[in-house]
Amino acid sequence: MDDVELQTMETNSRTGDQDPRPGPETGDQGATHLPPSVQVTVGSANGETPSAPEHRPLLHPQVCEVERLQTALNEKVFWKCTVWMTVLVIIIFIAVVIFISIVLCEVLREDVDDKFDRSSYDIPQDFNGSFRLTNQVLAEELLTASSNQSQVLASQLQKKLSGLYSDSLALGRFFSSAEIYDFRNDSMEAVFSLRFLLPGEDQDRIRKFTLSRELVYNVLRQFLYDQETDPPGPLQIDPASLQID
Amino acid sequence: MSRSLGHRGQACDTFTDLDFHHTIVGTTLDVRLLLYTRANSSCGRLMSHSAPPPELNLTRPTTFIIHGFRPTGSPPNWLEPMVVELLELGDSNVVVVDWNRGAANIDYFRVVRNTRATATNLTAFIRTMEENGASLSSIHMIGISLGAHISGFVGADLNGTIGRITGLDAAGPLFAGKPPEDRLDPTDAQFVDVIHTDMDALGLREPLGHIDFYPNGGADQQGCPRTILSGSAYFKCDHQRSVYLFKESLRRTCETRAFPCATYADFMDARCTDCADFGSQGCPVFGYGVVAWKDSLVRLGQSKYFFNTNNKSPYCKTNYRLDIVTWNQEVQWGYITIKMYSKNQSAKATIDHKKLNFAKYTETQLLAQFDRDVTTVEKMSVTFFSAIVLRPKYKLRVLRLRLQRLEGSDRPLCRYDLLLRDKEEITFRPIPCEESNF
Repeated sequence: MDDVELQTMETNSRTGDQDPRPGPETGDQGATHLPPSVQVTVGSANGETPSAPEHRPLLHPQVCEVERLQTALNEKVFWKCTVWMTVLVIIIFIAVVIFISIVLCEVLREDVDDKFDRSSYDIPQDFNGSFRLTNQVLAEELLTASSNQSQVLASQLQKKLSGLYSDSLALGRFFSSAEIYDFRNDSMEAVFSLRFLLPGEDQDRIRKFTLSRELVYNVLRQFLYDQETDPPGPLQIDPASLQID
Repeated sequence: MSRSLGHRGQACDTFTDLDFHHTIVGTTLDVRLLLYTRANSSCGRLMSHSAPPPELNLTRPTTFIIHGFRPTGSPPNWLEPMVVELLELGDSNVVVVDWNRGAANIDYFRVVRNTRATATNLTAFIRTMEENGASLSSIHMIGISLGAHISGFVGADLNGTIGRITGLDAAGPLFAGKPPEDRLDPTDAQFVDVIHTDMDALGLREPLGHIDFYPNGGADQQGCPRTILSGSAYFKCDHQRSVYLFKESLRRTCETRAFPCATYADFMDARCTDCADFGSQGCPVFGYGVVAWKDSLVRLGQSKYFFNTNNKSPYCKTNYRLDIVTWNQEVQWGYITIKMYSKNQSAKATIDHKKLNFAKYTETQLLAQFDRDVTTVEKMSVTFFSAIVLRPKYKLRVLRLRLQRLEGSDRPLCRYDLLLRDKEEITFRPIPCEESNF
């Protein structure tokens, strides 16, 4: 209570100081803003002759409080901005800052799982396997034609393997190369090898889960099953014939 | 009393029809026994207590249906269909125990006092049947609410020699916490199976039989109103569901397996999917047919059995175990919706009973309960709903997702290397799993 009164006192005296300055507006505004009762308080607060207590009992104490608060809130901080405007602006500003930081946090924060440094992956992990081509007639033509043709087929199949492993979400970052190094002519079987590079950190768990035979095998297997619905081509592979170890 | 004409012109006796006026004034106990057989499955015949009519063929098994508290006095609407379905299942005698005069009274305390007298009356009738050559082990009593306790009293009077008692949400008020002799218990018959559907209000929480089924946990049933705004259904829907579930099991449209588990929460967390105790039979099938598991159930002792239902008929769900291994570096939280498609059908399972936790390289085991049985799965879809608030919603990075049916010996379905973005449905063709090394 006393504090409020004191504050009122101080600011009032300041406005009082400003009052005499030129500009009729300020004077006018001061007059419209301050109800008579306040002027009474101002008078007493300014520490003039204690005639104020005589007026006090006339005023309802609650009304007095409300009015005092009103005055306090309507005080000018600078130019036309009153205390209540300033308080409101500060509250809105805090809310906006909080909101923006949440949004920025959502937008700017990177997914830790998207961050990796492939140059630190240097421990090789190899898988060997084989599969059979479904469209044997077409593939046989390619093979018997010339060894050049078989190289074309090998490179196409290699590209297919590299493509699907590089696109793999879990394996892509570890994938290094795929090579078709032999065709077993009799059964149209292609023999291939896959190379992955893994980091030294957490090596054992990566080997056990992500770069496990199960995942390397099944990523290719489900790719082959998905292709079954496509129209048959020379590169069609029988998913059941797939072997990896 | 209540008589109408049957299809061959003979008079049919029907269930006592009272109205609200009677229940306010109160009724005095009158136990009527209405006999239905395959010859007259839609036309009841009132039997004399002292001399059973020749139509009651005592070489056939006999099923008693005993209703409960009737605050409105009207005949139960499920009664006739249940009689018809029981007779379709086997050539038996179905006896409807009509104690509506006695049960139709708004004073529940009076009605509870009438249960002992009704039981004494029935015991006397069954003794007469026995004297005339009936075998007590071929007697099955189906008791609804208070009727379940009446069956228990009759069973106890006959030293537990009757074949089977089925308690459909045995009444809770005035029976909770009572000793076994004052309620239905496993010693009342050779086999006692009980269904709990409203254990937090009109039913009982404690196990009462050799097998106690707790559909949807036993308290709140799927599709029943959760607020009083829905009127009288709010009070009776959960309680009555036991009757509808049992009735559906008579029709054998679909099969629901129930899993023994310490708590419903454990069941929902897929911790109770093992049915090895039952050998090749597998876990008990809910409902009328559970008697086939009688020997193993009596040997294994009392336990709670859980299953979930759809919110309307057909109530059966198909249970799968869903195992997910992820490789996100940070722990992810969320819910999963999974759908299965065949050529012309689809089934959906939502796993949201609690926030699911996915930690790196750890297999998360979930119970996926599909609303329908899809036999040849051609396509599947999975949607992940992140439950992380005020933090970036990372994607769920799945190494392997495996879906294994709990019943039967179907090969599990798998999918590898998936990325599940928040709220985005990912559709794929599952492939048969191969032996796991994880």
